[in-house]
Amino acid sequence: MVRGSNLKQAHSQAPWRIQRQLIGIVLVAIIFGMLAAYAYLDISARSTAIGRRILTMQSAVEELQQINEDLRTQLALITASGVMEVRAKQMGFRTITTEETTFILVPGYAGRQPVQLAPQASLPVAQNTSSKIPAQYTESLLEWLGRQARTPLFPTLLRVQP
Amino acid sequence: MKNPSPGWRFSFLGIILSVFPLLILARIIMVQANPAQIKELKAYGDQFAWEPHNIIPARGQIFDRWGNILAGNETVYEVGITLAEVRNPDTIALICSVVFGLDYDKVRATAELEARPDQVYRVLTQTATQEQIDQYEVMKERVLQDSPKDKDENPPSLRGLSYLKRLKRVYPEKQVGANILGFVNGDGIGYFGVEEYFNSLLADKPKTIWLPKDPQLLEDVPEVPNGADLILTLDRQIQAQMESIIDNAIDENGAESGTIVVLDPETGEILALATTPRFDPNEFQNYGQVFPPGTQYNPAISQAFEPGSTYKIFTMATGLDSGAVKPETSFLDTGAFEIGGTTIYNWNYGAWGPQDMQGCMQHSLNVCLAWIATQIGAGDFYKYMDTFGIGQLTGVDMAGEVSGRLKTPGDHDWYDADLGTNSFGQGVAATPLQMATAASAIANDGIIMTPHVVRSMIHNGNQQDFELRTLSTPIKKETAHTLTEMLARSLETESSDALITGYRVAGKTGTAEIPTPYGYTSNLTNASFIGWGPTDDPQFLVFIWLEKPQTAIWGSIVAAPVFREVVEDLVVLMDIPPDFVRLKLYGQ
Repeated sequence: MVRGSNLKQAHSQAPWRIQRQLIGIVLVAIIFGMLAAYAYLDISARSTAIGRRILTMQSAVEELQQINEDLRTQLALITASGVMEVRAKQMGFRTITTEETTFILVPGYAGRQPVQLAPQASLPVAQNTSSKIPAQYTESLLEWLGRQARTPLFPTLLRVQP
Repeated sequence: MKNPSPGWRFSFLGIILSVFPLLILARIIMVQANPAQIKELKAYGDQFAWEPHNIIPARGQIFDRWGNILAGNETVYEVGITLAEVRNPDTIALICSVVFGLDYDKVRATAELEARPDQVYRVLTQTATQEQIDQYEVMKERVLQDSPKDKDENPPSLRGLSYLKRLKRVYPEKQVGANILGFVNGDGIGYFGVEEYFNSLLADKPKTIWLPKDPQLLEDVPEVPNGADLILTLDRQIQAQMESIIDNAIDENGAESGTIVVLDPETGEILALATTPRFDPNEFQNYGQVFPPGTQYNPAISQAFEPGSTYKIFTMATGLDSGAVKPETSFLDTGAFEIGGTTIYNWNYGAWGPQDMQGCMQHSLNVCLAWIATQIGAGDFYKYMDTFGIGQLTGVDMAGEVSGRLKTPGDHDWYDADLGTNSFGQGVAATPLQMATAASAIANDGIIMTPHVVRSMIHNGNQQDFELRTLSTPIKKETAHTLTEMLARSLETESSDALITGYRVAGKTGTAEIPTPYGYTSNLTNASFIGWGPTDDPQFLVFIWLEKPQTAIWGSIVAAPVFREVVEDLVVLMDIPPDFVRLKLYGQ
């Protein structure tokens, strides 16, 4: 009762104090809300922008792959055996005969070997089947907070048996 | 005078401002709590939230053994019309004729077609180039700018006309190796040869995935792997050279068609396979003109014929291997031999007197070979022919192989006389590749390796070599060496046109009459030659077939010189030193 009468007395003496307290509380709430909104918008905007960049880059990769394919074919067209033969003849070359050939033995040389265009299949090749997009770009703010909460602050030390 | 209090106005405004948010809130609750409306709105939203993304995996490339591209891909565009969207067929026809070189009337007629459920989209061309598309974009801008602003009844419009990027198969070597490669049609389906045999490996299926437009719903674009690349056993230079040689041989001898098979007998690798007719697979639409009905795309695997005397090497191999005869076994050739009620004569109807087995091969005596077959006996003879693979598929990795025909005892149409005729290659049908494969046993210590044209496959970034497979071992190593020596001596003694300076080769000519429905009544023949070398370490085996030559009917006259020409080029292209150089170098 004494406390209640003190408040009434304080209000009657300086009512702006209570109002200021209320305004302060509301302002604090608004500021926190704005901060949360800012953080949310900032992260969303950034993830959106990066998402767009990823899509653009994926398109660019596809485009470049196709250009490479075209260029390889163009190269094959200008180095086709018929084309090369014509060019060779224009430059004064002709087919060699066996009589004109000098054969020498090169120790360790096994002769021309068929082409190897990729590593042999017997070699282990790492295949990444998981998503290429990090979780940060697909999760919501709440999911991110949850993941952060689950992450231990200090890494666990493992005891290794000698 | 007391001022009227403004309090009621503020109260009224407060109530109004409160009621509106409350109404909105109520509406939100109504919408969000109504399952039917939720479903409807979600479905409506989803229509615009996702867009299709077509992934067309590139068809695998095909290389020769040295890594030269034999089949690749290039970007082209499919141009088509969505009929329901067409506003002005004239504009579309005009632009298509100017930019893509299409027929104005045909395009106009297509654009005027009525849109129906079964008639939504029409393709105008599938081979528009990037330059044409760039030109089209410029023209499109111009059409849009030049459109009159006032309300015209039918203003210029390109609505309905669209293009789509796609990959087109390209064969940089054009005709070279076309019969082996096959071709890919406009729908991306492989026909004949390697393209058909490995179609599912070369071409992964196109995939359509749906991607969200909302960038926050970012999803992985799945990696659709391209088709596997193939590395062939072919050498494009040898292939080109063999095609040139067979074309010249056909021209010089007036033959109807020709085939050259070159393989490595030790591995079964096909180094070249030249046949006629051929065409440029880049222009696959000409297929019907080049290959009218009855014409095989690749006669080397698809056309069986009576081989004639080249077949005698299998009879002699069987005789030697089974012990029925030895090289020094003597035979008195009287010029005729009766078997199963049929009399066998020699090619010149002459009697050649006493002969050893080399003489029988050297003079290609039908009578002697028929006698050898009787010494072997029908049971063993056909058992050996079976292990040589006659009448069976070789299992070569190309589409369209046929097995030929070898009648055996027990078949309704086999008679005793067939043993005699079969012994010298009559009454039996084999493909050129079958003949080469069977002969590879004699060139490769008695072992037949499965013939193949694909050496390796590249998939998921790894190269995998296909294992060499043994098809069969019809004869012993000693038999193979003995017969090779006999055949080499036969050529040398006869001073055959097949001989090559500096290289010892073994081989046999063949001249086969062509059967008609009334018997062997035609004067036309199949001229052939089968040979390999160098005899001490065979690195190539060559089979030549000229169909119906006009200048001469004999294999020794028309096919043997072609063999020499082939080997003269082969030893240069395969870096094979002359025998004396090779033996000297190896002796060091």
